Amino acid sequence: MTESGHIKQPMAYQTLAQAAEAPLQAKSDEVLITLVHQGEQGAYRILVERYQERIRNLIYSIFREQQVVDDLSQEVFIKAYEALPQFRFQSSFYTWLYRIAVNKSRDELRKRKVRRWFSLQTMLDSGDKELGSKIVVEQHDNELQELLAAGLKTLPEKYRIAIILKDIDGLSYEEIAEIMECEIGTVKSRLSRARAMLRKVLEPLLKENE
Amino acid sequence: MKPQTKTELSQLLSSYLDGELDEAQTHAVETMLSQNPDAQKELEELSALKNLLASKKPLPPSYGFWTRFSLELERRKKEEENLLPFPRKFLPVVSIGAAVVVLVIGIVLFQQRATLVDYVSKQSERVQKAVEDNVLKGALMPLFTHIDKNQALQFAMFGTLPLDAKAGTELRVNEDSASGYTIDVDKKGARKTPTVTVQEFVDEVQPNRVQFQIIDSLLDLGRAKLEGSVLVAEDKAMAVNPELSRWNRVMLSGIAAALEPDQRVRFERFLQSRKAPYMLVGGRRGPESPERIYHSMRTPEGVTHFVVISPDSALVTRLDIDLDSLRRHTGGMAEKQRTVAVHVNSLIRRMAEREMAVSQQYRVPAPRVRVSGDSESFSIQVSTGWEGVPSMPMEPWVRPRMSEQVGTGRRQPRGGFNVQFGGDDSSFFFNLDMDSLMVRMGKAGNGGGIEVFKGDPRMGNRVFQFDERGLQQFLDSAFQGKKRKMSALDSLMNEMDKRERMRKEKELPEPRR
Repeated sequence: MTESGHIKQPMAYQTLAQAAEAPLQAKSDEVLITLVHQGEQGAYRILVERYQERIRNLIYSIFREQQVVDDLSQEVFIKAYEALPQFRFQSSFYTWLYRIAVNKSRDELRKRKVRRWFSLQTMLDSGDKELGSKIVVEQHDNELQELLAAGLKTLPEKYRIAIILKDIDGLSYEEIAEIMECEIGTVKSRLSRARAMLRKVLEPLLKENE
Repeated sequence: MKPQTKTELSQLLSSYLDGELDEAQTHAVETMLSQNPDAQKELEELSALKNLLASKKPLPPSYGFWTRFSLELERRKKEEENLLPFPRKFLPVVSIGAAVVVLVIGIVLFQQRATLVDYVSKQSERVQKAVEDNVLKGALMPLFTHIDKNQALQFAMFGTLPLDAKAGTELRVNEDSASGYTIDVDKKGARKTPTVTVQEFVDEVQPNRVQFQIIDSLLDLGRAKLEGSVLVAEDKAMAVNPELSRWNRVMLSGIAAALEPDQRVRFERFLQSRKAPYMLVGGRRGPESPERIYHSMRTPEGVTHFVVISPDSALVTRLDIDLDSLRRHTGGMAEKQRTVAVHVNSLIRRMAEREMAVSQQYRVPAPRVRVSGDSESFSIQVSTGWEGVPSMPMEPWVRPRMSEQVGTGRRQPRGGFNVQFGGDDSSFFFNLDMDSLMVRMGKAGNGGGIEVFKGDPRMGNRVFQFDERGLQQFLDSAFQGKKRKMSALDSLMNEMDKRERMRKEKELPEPRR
């Protein structure tokens, strides 16, 4: 209750009232989420379409495998849909969504690690594939991008995700800290370490480009 | 602000590059950069890297992502709905209802706990009774009916009793202070238990008339005890009184207690010369009186705990056995004895036929008795301290002779572990007793292969043999695996060489024409 005796509406409601007439596409994330909370399923479609490419690209940057991109992205949006009733507007929707995507990717990476432990054959196959992707690069137009991707793949998961979020997705330190659920200082050191490692791997390439 | 280490410098440059430093820090870094060409170079490289990453081409957009997503979402919703026998919206109500019901049941059960415990114990008694009735139904016969005093003395000295001379099976009690007692029923194999007679004992130890009478009574009592300790219910089950495992020591202690010190020395010599697995030890308080030992052997009559073993179950149960009436009932001893021997062999065979019974060791309801099956034998292991086997009432005068165990082929209680190796078309299994495993590897020209023995290989109790052909297959498959790994490494090395060559070619200046 406010001093004047009126029930204080959440921010989203006020925005909703103001933007009631605007088409769904023009509404903010917060308004759309409130609409989903109220049972307006169409609003979630707008949210998905708004962020699907960013999430797909993030997952592609982490895995560099087109075949996992759509499945994992789908999982991310399903998880977000299920958890949306608990979303309390304490962070922006896209950092929240990124956090889900990063956690899903980490889960997948861990699963792969476990699978490698338990299957000798898989270990040999994927080991070869991974090593191969680091070294074997076909001579074609986007060789540079391929080398960069191969270099990224050599980084441990926590460094890889930090540098992708910063340099590819252009997020701020605060946002990265929120997504990766760590301190800003940790983000700083992870980024610095990731860059140092990547610089070492791609040294010849960087010299060529100077 | 000056970075102390290379890592600090890198971190500072990284933050500078991201524009995450405040004004003062930015100024300090810029000053440092103007004086430090290495830092300048590093920043350039980091900047190139950042630009490279930022220029990453995005994926082609996914058309129909929403359609696929909404279909998947719909499918999952339906799947979830199908799992519930009621509409999903009732889930909270149903959950609360279920919790209340569980709580109420819990309270009722708690209030009625006395009745419940009574009910459970009655039920378990009924189950036990049913098992006893079924398993021990039919003619219950003592396994040993004709034990003479020589055999009783032999049991006292070696802990063995022959079951069936033809099949070569024997019953053997065995004791280990650490893990308790074991009663084994199996084939003698190549072991040879020396035979002793009471006459030999008398000749060697020279007891006087009174002493001999005491010893004779002890042997007589021991004989009766042995006869009532192992019972057979046709080929369905065998009931063994776990106390059997200590009778031989009690009997031996009783004999020793009846003797004078110089006679005890002669008795010890007698035990040693016959390679008995026990030796006499001097107790601190002097020997117990033979009367007390005699008394201790007599007292626990009536209802006794028995371990009942059938091919697929084992339980500890109380049996009230009137041995005298059993004897009167069975009559025609020689013939019955043969039938019993046949039943015991059949029982051992049936235990062996069951894969599970052979490899599995299972605990019977009483916590400290363990029964294990084997291909030609079974073993009952009774831990010390179990109520079914009361501890020795007197200070024991006899303890196992650790150095020499020849004669009875004493087996240590089963410890160790089982190992199973499986392949595509074959597998093998063996049990390793930690203290008695022997692996023998033969030369290729001499039959070849690996053999694993339990205990002494001279006894021929081989548990595992790997012949030359099997070994060759094993080596071949191992070699193939290594070869596969090597070829994967080779292709990787080739790729690396190729890249190295390409890099060098790029670096070399174009030849002038």
